[in-house]
Amino acid sequence: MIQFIKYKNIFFALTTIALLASVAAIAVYKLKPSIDFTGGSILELQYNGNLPTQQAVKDAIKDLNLKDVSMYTVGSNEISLRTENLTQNVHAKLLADLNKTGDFQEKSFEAIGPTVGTEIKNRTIMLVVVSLLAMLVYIAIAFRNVPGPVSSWKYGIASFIVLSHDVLVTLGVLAVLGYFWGVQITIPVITALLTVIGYAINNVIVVYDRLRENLTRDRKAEFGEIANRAVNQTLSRQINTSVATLLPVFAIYFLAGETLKYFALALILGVVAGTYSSIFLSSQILVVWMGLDGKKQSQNKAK
Amino acid sequence: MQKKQYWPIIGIVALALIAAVFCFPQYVNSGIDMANSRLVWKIPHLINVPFKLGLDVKGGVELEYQADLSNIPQDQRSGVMNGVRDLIERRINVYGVAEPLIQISGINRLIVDLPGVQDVQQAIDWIGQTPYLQFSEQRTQAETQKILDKIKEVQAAVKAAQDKKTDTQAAMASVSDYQLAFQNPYFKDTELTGKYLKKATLTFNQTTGAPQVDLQFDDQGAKIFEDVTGRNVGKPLAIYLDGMSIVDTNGDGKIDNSDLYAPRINEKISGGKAVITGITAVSEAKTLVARLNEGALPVPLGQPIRQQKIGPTLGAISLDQTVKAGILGFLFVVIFMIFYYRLPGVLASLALTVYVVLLLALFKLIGVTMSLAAIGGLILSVGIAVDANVLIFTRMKEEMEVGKSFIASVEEGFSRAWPAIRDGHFTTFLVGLILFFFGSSFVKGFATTLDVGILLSLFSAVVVTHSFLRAFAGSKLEKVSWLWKPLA
Repeated sequence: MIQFIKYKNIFFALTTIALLASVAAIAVYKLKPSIDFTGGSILELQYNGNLPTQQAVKDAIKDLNLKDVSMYTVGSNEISLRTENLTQNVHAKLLADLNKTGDFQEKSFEAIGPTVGTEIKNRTIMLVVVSLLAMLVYIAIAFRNVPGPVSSWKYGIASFIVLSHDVLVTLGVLAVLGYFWGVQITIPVITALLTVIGYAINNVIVVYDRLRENLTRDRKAEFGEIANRAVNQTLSRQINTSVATLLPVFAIYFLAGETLKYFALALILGVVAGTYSSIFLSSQILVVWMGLDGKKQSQNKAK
Repeated sequence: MQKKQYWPIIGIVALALIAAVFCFPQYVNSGIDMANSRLVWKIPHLINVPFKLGLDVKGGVELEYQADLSNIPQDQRSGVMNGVRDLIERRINVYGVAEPLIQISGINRLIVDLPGVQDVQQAIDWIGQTPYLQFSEQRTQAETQKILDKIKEVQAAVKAAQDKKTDTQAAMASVSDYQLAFQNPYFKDTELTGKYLKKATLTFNQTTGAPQVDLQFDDQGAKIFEDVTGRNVGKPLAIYLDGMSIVDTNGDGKIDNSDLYAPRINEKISGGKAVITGITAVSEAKTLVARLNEGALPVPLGQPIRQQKIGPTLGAISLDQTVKAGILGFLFVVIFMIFYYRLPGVLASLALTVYVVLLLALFKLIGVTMSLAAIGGLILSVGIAVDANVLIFTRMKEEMEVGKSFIASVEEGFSRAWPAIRDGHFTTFLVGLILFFFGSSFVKGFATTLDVGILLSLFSAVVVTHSFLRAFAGSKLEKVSWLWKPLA
């Protein structure tokens, strides 16, 4: 048996470092929101001949005085152009001006008003919080009959901490990727993040469920020992399910198009974080919490 | 006893076959074609119900509008929005767009999906053409003066800012109640709008023979009209269509801000009939009648707040890539499961195949729109279905290790794994529900397939995998222990 509980302090240290690094990354590098959240326009243009240079495109459209113009190439014959939220008139003028840069087709166009962006942002934050709280409540109810020294609402709060860890670490890595490689927070990424919550809670439940079962069968052994047994017993499931989930997600990442690419990336990060935290964090939190309560009780007695 | 255990399997296989034929009848049909070429009697083709494809894989235009509901009482808003949706749907149908989808999102949003359409401007024009009819009464002199003064004040502030080269927007916003300056100083809207219009007809004046348009309001509109005309006797009543005069009054051939159609009200009018005169050409009157009848929007929509266009090639490529990713991902999972769990892995793979086929058939049956998000949810739900199998096999292995018989291990493995499977499925389902009710359209598509997938996954693990395992009880293979032993 691997001693997951005995060396808990090492794991807590690692987790704390990861969390601090994530918070620092989010604070310093900032998450890079896509136009889904800020409002703006994206045009994807497929050229039939040579791609124009950045400068050529900028010169061609300079009369329109567009704000926040950025451009990058996709594959060998496409460019993606981002700018402010365009009205239909300006969009038409922009296309006309771009005709100077070569023969192209407009593959896709998207324009989002600023009000939609703010609204989506607020709604998203609410979605994440509501989901996390719903999980807390569900665990507290599902484990209401759990035997042993730790009460069910502590299982709920511990899983809330674990899930928040998974979301934070995922966001932290996305902030780093956003800063160095321009990975953006899109609606699909947020969807993935919420899916991670649903996935990670599964992992936590598997451990806690095993813990509950062990506690019912063995009333004598120490809580930490029982918890360690539960983590060991569920270890192969945690790893196998992660592998089985990651296989199709990697396939999406490498094969599917642009829309689902970052969705898959966020899922990969979340699944890895979720697997780690279910093994190295979920039951350890309960053990430490119980230890603190025990100290309090003995202090009370001493008085 | 022994024979009985095969019945569930026969049932499952039959169900899966029916589902597979329902999903992909084209393969069966080409088989029928081949048979027909050699047979005397012809076998009819199976009906091919196509998958409903989302806009992002089919190509097309999506527009999102925000209706201004500020003048509609709270309790009538959803009814009004339904009206707007129906009107726009009717309008789009005139242009022969295949399967347009017009949905209300939230309270005041309208999402219009037009598959196959490539010209955004044209789409906006189609929707924008629906007219908005408004009747306005004269303001009191005090009100008019107040607005005119405010306009002067704002103009002065803006000019001062221009002279000083500072931000004119900010200067304008610094004037108190500056919004007032953007209102029509002479007329204000009444409660009477196109919402109450029953129909418009083209008639001709009996004495002059000039064309005119008769408006007939519904009962509620008639009451409002009586009220509005009653309190404005001797004053003009302005009629606007889409914020402009309804008629070209100064005869310059176009309708602009210099036109104002505001006939004087001579007496209170009961019965809900109004007549629009002063139209010069019969053709003009005809267009007006057509526009009014095709649907007067009860609330203004304005310009779209979000627009998206997806080219047909991009959609096809995305669909192709995503389907490939899905198939490959599925194969990887199958290889992994068989490699690690051996015979149970093979059974799980069969159960997963049944699962995917049933899921696709279910999507077709209840008409789930297959967008990229939906396909993403589908692929992910396969992962969850695998998890249920993994949990069961892990438990089975433990029971076998303590020396229990095969069938006892299977049953014990199931009952031990059940609480974790139940709680895990339920929580993920819960997240899916939250996503569905609060998410945007992309998120909704994902949540739908995820949740349907989770429900079916329970069936797959509890019924399909379970039946497959039970079928081996008492067989020769049951005794070959290495077949049932996972790698670790």
